[in-house]
Amino acid sequence: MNETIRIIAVVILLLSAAINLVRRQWALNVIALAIQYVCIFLLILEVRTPLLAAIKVIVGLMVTTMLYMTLISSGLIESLLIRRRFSSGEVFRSTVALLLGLISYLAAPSLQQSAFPQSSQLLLTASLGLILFGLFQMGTITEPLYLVIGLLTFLSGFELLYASLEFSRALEALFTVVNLSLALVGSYFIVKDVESRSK
Amino acid sequence: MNLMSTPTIWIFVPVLLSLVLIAVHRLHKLSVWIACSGSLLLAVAAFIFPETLDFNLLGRSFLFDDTFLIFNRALILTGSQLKTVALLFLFSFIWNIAGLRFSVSRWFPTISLTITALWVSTMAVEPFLYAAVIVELIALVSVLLLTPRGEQTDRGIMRYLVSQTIAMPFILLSGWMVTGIESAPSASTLILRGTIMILIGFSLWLAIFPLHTWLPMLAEKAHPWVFSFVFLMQQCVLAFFLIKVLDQYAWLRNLSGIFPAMQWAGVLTILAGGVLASLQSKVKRILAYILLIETGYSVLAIGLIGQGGGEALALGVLPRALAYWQWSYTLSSIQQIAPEMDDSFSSLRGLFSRLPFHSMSLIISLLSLLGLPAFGLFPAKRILWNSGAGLTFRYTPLLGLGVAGMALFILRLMHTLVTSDTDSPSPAGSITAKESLWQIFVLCFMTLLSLLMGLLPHVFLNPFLGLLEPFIHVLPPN
Repeated sequence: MNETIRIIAVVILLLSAAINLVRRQWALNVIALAIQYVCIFLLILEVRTPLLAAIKVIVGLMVTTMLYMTLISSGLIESLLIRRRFSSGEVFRSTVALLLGLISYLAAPSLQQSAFPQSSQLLLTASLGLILFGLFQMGTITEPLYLVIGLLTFLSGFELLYASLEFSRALEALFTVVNLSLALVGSYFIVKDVESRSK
Repeated sequence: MNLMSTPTIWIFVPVLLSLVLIAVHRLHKLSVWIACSGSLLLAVAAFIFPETLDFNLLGRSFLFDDTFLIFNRALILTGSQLKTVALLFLFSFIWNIAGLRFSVSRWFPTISLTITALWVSTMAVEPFLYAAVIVELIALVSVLLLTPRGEQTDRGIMRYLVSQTIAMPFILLSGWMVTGIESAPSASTLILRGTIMILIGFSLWLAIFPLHTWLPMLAEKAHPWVFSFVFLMQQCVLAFFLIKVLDQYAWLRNLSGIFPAMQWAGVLTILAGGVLASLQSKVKRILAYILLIETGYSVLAIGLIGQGGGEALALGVLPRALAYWQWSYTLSSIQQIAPEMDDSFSSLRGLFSRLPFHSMSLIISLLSLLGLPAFGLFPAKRILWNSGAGLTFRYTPLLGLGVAGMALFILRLMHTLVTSDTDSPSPAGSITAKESLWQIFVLCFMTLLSLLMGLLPHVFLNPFLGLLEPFIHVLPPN
C-alpha cells in the first residue's frame, strides 16, 4: 500500500488513541475506538492478507458496537454536540499524550534495530504508541469504560506488533476471542455500575 | 481431526457441558448437579485412564490419541499429564458440590467448568507459550464470577485484569525472542531478555511480591468461595507451567542465577505475606495473604527444584487445596449464618461461644497452611525449610519471620474468637442460629482429612509425586 496512506493511518491511529486518553465523552470515545480499528486494518495489511486483516477490523467494530449498545441502553451516553470546556486533567493528559506519541516516534528506529528487525518503523511506531497509550490509560483510570478502552488499545498495539513477528491461525483465533470477551467484560462492568448507581 | 483423543475428553467435553449449563443456569440445583457429576466423572476418568492411553472396556480395546490438531497447531495431553487433569476436575467437583450451600453467582457451575477446561488446555496447547492467551481468557471469564452484581466495579478487579493482560505480551514475546537460540551462549543478550520477560510475566500472573496489591483488594470484595477456587486453580496450574517452561527451555534452566532468583522471589513473597497477614484486621483479606504466602512457597519450591523442591510442590498440592477449601467453606458458612457480620476482626469477637466448630475450623485450616506438624502441608514445607536452610543461612531468618507473621495472625484470631467484650457486644455475640449436624460433620471431616494426610503422607500424598512425571528434563526420573 502507498506509504503516504500508511503514514496518515498511523497519525490518525495515534490521534484516536490520544482522544480516548484525553477526552471523557463516551460517544466520542467509542467513535475514536472504531477509527482506531479501521486504521489498524490499514496498517496490518503490510503483514497480512486483506482477508485476515479484515478479521481484525470486523472484530474491532463488533467490540465497539457491543460497548456502544451497552452505553445506549444504560442511558448515560451524552450527545456528541455537547461542548464542554477542557478540564485541567484533560490538559495534563494531552501533554502526556503528546509526550507518548513523541516517545513512540523516536523509539521506533532503535527498537527496530535492537529487537524487531523484521517489523517496519511505521508499524513499530503505531504499535508502541498504542501500547503506551493503553498502559497509561490503564494505570491512571478507574472508570470501567476507560479501563476497557485502555485494555483494548494495549492489546491492539501488541497484536499489531506480534502480527509482524509471527503468523498463527490459532493465535489469531485466540486473540479474537480475547477481544470479544474483553468487550463482554466491559459491558458487564458498565451495566453493573449503572445498577449500583440506581440502587 | 481425531475425536478419539484425550483433549476431546478433557477439554471439549467440559466446554460443551458448560454450553449446556448456560441453557439451564436458571435451574441452579440442576446446573450444580450437572457440573458436579461432569467434573467427578472427568476426574475419575483421568485418574483411572491408563498412561498408554489404551483403554479396555468390556473386552474391547480403545486406543486414544494424545493429540488434537486445530488450526495447524496441536493440543497434546499425554498420559502422564492426566494426574494433574484429574486433580483439577476434582477441585472443580469439591468446589461445586459445596457451592450449592452458598449464595454465589448462578453462573458458578458454568464458569467453573469452563475455567477448568481452559486450564487443562493451557497444559495441552503447543506451542506451549500460546497458553499465555488462554490465561488471559481465563482471567476475563473469571471476572464475571469475582465481581458481584449490584456493586460498583472496584479497583482490585481492574488491577487484576490489567496485570493479567500485561503479563501476556511478556510471555508471548519471550517465546518468539528466543526461538532457535538453544545453542547460543548463556550470556547472549537475547537469552537475558527472554529470561527477564518470562520472569516478569510469571511475576504478574502469580502476583509475586511486590506485584500483589490487587490480591487483597479483590479478596475483600469477592465471595471467598469463588476467590479460593479461581486462584487455587491459577496458582496450581501456573506453578506447573513454570516448571514446564524450565523443562522445555534448556537455555533458561542452564542460566546461572535463575534458580537463586526464584528462591529469593519465593522467600520475599513468603516474608511479605506473613508480615502483611500479621497486621491484617479484615478476615476476608486474609485469604489473599494466604495465597501470597503459598505462591511464595510454590516459587521457592521451583527455585529449589534440584534440592527436592519439585517433590515439595507435588506433595503440597492436595493439602493446600483442602486447606483453602476448609478456610473458604468456614468463612462462607459464617457469612451465610450471620449475614449481618462484616469482615472486620471486631465483628468476630466471641464467635467461639456461638459457633465453636466454625471457629475451630478457621484456626485449624490456618494451622494446616502454616505447616504445623501432623497436618497435610507439613511434609512439603519441611522439605522446603530444610532445603532452603541447607543452601544458605540467609533464607532462614526471612522464612522464620514470614512463618512468625502468620503465627501471630493465628494467635490474634484465636484471641478474638474466644474473648468477648461485654461493654460493646459484637455481631458474632448476637448470633442465634446453631451449627447444624451436617455443618459439624463437614468441618470435622475436613480436619480429620488434613490430619490423616499429615500423619500418613506415604499413603495420601506420595501418589501425587506422579504429577512431576511430564517434566523429564528439569527433573530426571529416578
